Amino acid sequence: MSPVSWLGWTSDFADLVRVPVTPFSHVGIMMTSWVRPAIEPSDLPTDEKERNDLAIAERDYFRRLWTAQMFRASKLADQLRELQALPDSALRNPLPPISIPIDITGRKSSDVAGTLELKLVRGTSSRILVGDIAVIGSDVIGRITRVGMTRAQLIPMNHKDIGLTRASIVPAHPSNLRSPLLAEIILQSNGGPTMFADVPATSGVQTGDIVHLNDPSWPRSGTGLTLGVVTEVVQIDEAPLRQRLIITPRRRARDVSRVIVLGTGEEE
Amino acid sequence: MRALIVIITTIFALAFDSSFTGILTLRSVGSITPLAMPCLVVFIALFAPETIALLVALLLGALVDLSPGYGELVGGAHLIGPHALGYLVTALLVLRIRNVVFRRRVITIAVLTTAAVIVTGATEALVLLVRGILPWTPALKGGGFSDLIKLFGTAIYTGILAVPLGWCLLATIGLWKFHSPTGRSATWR
Repeated sequence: MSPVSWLGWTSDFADLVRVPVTPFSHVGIMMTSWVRPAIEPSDLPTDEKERNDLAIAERDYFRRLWTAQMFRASKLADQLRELQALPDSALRNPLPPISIPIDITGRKSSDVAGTLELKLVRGTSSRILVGDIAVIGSDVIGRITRVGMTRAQLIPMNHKDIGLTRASIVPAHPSNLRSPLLAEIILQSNGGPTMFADVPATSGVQTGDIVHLNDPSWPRSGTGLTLGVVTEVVQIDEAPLRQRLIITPRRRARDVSRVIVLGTGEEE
Repeated sequence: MRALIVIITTIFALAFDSSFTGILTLRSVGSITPLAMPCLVVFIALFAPETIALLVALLLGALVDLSPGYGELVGGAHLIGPHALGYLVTALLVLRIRNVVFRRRVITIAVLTTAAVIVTGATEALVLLVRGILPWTPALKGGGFSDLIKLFGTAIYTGILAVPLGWCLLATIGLWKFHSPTGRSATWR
């Protein structure tokens, strides 16, 4: 019945209690991911003609991007020449993120949005900070909420405590007919298996479109990573000019035994 | 009752519930997952002396509350109570009826484990409800009919899992060194 602020000691106590359990849980997680592996997401069409059309559309799209990047590179080269005139102290960049593979050692399997326990190994605790991003491939699966003495805690993207997240929606298959950036959204989670966001009805978002992280409050290394796919577009009766998007993460931490944390802490 | 056996079994039960059960999760029907800990609580409540059974149930519940995914609050703090009190109430109920059931039957453990999950779930809901009323704690969110159905599903699935687990526990009953306070007449069943 005590306020949350009085219960801080329980996190350290949980760390100690989990010490003897962690090795067995680790084996269990590895066995679970071996027996019931995650299904690899595939959004490619099965028909050969469609695949060829898609390949041609993608080739044209990337060719345009390449041209645009060439112009951008020239522009950046000009800026670089200006920056080279500055003193050395002005050129120091923030540390790039470090990819740290971390084993999952505990979770509540019945809760699709439940927190996960990560094993901390020697030398990694200082590199992982609260708020760092955990990924599988290019898919964001959650954020670190706590780094304890022996373990770290990760909340998945669909956990209710993840808060509001800014994101961008792009077409699943680039084409000339659709805008490369369909909408910018504020993503919300309610603790269920999916997330949701509202967009104008004219945005042209369709089922299967990809949602990318685009939130300045998240670590910079996460920008552009995938948050999920649009699995449902629902018309909101109360607001006829808006649609509700149901977004499902492509990868879930509960299906794997190991995640990559993009650590932003400094090496010891 | 041998403390070492209880500690080892508890570690295995905690590890089972936080990892191995992922193999048995029914992902297509709301991620219903069986639990090993209620089976252990029922087994101990069936055979251990009354005071020890209550204390162990309370302790096991507290350990479950400290497990990942259970009763977690802001900043990684854990809410100790929902499972601790839930298992305590379960142990109390089992203690009341253990003299009128066939204790050494697997089916008894399975049925009581099913009931234990429901009792624990109800106690947990009550604790969270009371906590939500207090002005310094956030109001309770979630629950509803879907969670009730999930609780019953979990109870039935846990009862099914209790058949092999109960068999294993009964097969090792000699190692536990239970001393029944009520004498031979209470243990012959």
